[in-house]
Amino acid sequence: MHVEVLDNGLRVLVREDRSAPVVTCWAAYRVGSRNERPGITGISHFIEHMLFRGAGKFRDEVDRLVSSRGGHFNAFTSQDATMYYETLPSGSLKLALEIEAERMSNAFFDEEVVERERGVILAEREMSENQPEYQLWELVRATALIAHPYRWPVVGWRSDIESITVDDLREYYRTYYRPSNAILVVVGDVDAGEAVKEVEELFGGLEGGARPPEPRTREPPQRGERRVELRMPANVSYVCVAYKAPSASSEDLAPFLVMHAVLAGAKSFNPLSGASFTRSSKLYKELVRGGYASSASAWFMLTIDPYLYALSLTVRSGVEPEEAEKKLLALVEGLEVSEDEVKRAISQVEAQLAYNVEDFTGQALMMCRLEVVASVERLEKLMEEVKRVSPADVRRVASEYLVEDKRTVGILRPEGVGA
Amino acid sequence: MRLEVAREELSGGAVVLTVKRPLRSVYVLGSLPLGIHVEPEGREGLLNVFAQMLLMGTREKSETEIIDEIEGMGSSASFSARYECLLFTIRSTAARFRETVTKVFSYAAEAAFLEEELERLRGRVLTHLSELEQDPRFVAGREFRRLLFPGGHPYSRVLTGSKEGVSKITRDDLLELKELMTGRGAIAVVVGGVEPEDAVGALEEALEGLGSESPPQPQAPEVSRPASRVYREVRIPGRVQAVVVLGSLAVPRLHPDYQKLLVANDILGSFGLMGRLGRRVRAEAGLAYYVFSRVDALRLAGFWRVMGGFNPAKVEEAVSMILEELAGMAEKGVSERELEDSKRHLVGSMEVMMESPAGIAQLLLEVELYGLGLDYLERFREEVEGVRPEDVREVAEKYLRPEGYVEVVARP
Repeated sequence: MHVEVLDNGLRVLVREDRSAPVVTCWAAYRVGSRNERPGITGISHFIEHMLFRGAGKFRDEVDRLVSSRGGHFNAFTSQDATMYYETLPSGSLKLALEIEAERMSNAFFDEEVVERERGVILAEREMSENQPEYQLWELVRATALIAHPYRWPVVGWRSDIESITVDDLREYYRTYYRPSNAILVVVGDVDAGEAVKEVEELFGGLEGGARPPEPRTREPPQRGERRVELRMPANVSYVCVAYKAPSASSEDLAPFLVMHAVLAGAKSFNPLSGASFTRSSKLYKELVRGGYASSASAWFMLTIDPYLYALSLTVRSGVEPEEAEKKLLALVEGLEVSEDEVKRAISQVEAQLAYNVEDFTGQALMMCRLEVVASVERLEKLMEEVKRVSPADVRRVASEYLVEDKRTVGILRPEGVGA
Repeated sequence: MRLEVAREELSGGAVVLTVKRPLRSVYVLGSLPLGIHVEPEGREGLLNVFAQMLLMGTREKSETEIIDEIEGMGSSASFSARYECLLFTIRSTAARFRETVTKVFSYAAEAAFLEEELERLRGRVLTHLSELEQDPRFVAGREFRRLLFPGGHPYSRVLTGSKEGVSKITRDDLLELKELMTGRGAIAVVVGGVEPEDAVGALEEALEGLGSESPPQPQAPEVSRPASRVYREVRIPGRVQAVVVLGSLAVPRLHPDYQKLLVANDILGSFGLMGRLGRRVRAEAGLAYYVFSRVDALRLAGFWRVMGGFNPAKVEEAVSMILEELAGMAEKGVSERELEDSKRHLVGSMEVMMESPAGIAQLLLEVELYGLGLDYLERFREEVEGVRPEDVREVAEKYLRPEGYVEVVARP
């Protein structure tokens, strides 16, 4: 992998891989809901929507230009980052780089377009709200975290989406969209030296600016269980339990990953892969096979600051949610692990890594993500740490993180139709 | 791009396609010739339950033991029901490939479908079906199928089945279905760090246990496009967004109009950010996060549909825009530039799919499943490039014209 840092602070990572005639180009900005404040929650995602349409000479043209070459493109906002990408047949890297250079410097925020995009974002939020378990998770997260910006949804609270102004968007863009706050990743059928040269030509002239200020708020320690209940029309009950999780740079991460693999199955390093769930996991054996839940999963993300470890159950018809909760808590908080289970979990984590680098788009996503939350080198070190994890390490992190005083329990209880 | 594919027909009637890639992992995607047509009347959901139970225990080994063995190697395996086949997906590291496929198919061939396991799974599936009943996307899609394929057509069903059907499934139903499971007609596409001869050797051994009887042939009653608009509204209290599914019958996969329809659909609701529909309803009107069109072309029949999620107060406005776009395609056709863009998109995206083992496998499985031949990748380019504006207009007029269609709205 070739790593370059331009004079304006733009960090460039290029990985050559000639196994397919494809290239993917990603631009990641160190800005997400972590950088927001009440009143403008969802603004990082709002900006993503505006820039997704393209910028500068590519305004409203990105989809046509990329698709007509057979490529695909998308953008994502998370707690810590906003990322844009294009995956194209090889030979099209310059187009992707030009698109990203325009995004970095020439955004547009016309009143009329902002209003239309607001409608699209509200529709996106409503799509999520259609899922009862999403509504429960939103409530649990906001209860488990009382101060840190991770407590609100990346899409933002509805009232904030409705009231974010054009000036808010412009100011936010000026603050965070600058080379010194960005990472550019290229993976695929390219010559690394040539690629870096093209990046320098297109991005080297952009003003780097200072790195934006880091958020100040830290989440205070939790000292006691928190509970929350949601009553709404639904056909089944859901239980969601959230504990505090270590950050991506924490020394506890490796044993935590292994513990998670034992409980729910190995985590994919692809941040978009969702919750883990494998049938050899304890969650499946105890909760699903045990007849308490029709599905069970556990989820956590590699994040800059400590975030949450969430376990979710869809309670099986005929079972009371409290019964399922009790079983889940007994399993998690009394976690027992054998040498064999740890060994199996480690080989699952290693296999996940092999699966994660099967395609260029996935590789680049992983590189962006790791670079944002820690550093791309973190993965290699992490894998070494994972190999050394012992059952005692797993027991230690379980007894530190998965405890009553640090848990938040949410129950969605159906009422009305279907209850 | 030229894809180096090794194709081998096994003595038992299965076909293995291998693409070697410099990876430490192997991805296997395949099919067994057992489609939804094998479900008897009143047993909707049987194929799905059958697929899940294939790795839920033999007489000698419990589900837990089987899964511990497979996942303990860092591998994963699953069987799932599809309209035309039973799909299997297997992932492993290259080092554990042979061991993984051998174990997976040996346990599937010996699946015991024990009563206790059936009851366990039934409870979960019934809860899942209750959950789906509150999902407007699922409900709208299910009602759409029921209205589009009346008269007991197998495509009128949803793969997860119905509560009534799943409640009635017996162990005997599953054992009868197992009698129909065969390796003849099976397809396995293997992509990753494995030599073709090793892939063939492993799968020949693995599929042997499934036998080589001839599979049941799919059959279905004739269906025709509705004479006029068929409308259904379903209320789901407590939801926030309405979901609309609107579409009609089109052509089966091997019909000569298929390729032209693919281009028309691309322009309508796929190209770029969901085609003309995305531009009109999302980008210009801000009414939707998603609104797209799809063509589903299977062996026995095919259909197209538009799906979108809208604020309940905006449904009528959005639907009238969709209908205008459909009529516009049929009446005015498409521009040269749209057509050229779409052709380059369809041809180019096939190349870009090659970046991932899953993309390669998906493409090759389709090629083999429909007997398209390995030269299809080249032919596809020629056929798409040969589509003219008048062809698009003709198929739009024939199939996408907003007359005689089914419209379902699932709303709070």
